[in-house]
Amino acid sequence: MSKQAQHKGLMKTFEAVIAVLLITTFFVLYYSTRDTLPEFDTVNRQIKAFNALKSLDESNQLRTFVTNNNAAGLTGALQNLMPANLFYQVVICNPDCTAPTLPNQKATSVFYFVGGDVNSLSTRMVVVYVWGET
Amino acid sequence: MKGQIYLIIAIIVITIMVTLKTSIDTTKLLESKRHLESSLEREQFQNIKEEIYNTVSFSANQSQNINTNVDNFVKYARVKLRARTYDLNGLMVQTIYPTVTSGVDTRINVSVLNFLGKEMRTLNLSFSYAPSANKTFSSLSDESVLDTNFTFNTVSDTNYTLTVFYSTPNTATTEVISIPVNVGKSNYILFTDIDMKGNVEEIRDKYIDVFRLS
Repeated sequence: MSKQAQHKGLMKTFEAVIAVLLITTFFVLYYSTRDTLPEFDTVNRQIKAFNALKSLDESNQLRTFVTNNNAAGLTGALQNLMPANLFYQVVICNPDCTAPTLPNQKATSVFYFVGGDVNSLSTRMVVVYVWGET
Repeated sequence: MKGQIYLIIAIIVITIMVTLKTSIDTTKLLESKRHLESSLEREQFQNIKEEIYNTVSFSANQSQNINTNVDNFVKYARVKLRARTYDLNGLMVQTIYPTVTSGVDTRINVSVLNFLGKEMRTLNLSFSYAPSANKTFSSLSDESVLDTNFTFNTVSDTNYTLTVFYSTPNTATTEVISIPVNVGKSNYILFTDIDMKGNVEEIRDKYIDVFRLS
């Protein structure tokens, strides 16, 4: 191999190294200060659960479940209104709320007040804990 | 074109990286998240207002003490919201009178719930039927209820006003509440000034509801 060809090869390697260093340096400096993107999962889950409760309220079912302290019935009724990919647990605060055992640290919750119904005047709050992919 | 091709590729890659990052508008994403959270809090606020209304309706239907049930609802909601780092504050004035008979003295009951989150230093109530018979009270602590009454006598339907003046350590407020009186009827009038401070927004509403009891 001639000296000239050897020099050309070295130059090529040198320029390739500079290109790699350039990209790496830029990447580290530019993306190390990147803003954290907001997460929408929490609020989306809360909205879905709240809308489900509201829908049950509008169809006059929620009050009956809540005043009868029927968390299981309410859980079943919510099944048709909540997306299949979301898991949830219902707590009826009567008057205190018992903290549920949740399988997931990323669970969020939403509340809904019920001021009794035509037959009973017991103020209660429903809390729905939600987790899973939205 | 020799090794320079690597440098050209590097510049192209950097340009793509910059374009990618600037195309993600974090501010807009944060705004839309805040908008969603805010709309949820507005729905929750609406839920509280509707349940105050329902408490009055159900209490009236079941001939129960409306004032006590409404006070209890508000106090319950406050405790539960506080546990979720929300604040619910305000003032509620409930007035109720039995069926009015023409030309006969009728007693109107006035109940004031202070849930401003602070002490009410002075409270002055003035009823337009007999303005000289205004009543002044002092030092009403947070979540305390003041009950008092006035008397009126009418031979026809009319509208009275109840003027509520109250002061706290840093504010002085006057509210004028219209009290419709109908001969042969019994009414319940609820004045509500309610403020909910959620995690993203503070929502306030002031309104009057009139319920015909008989």
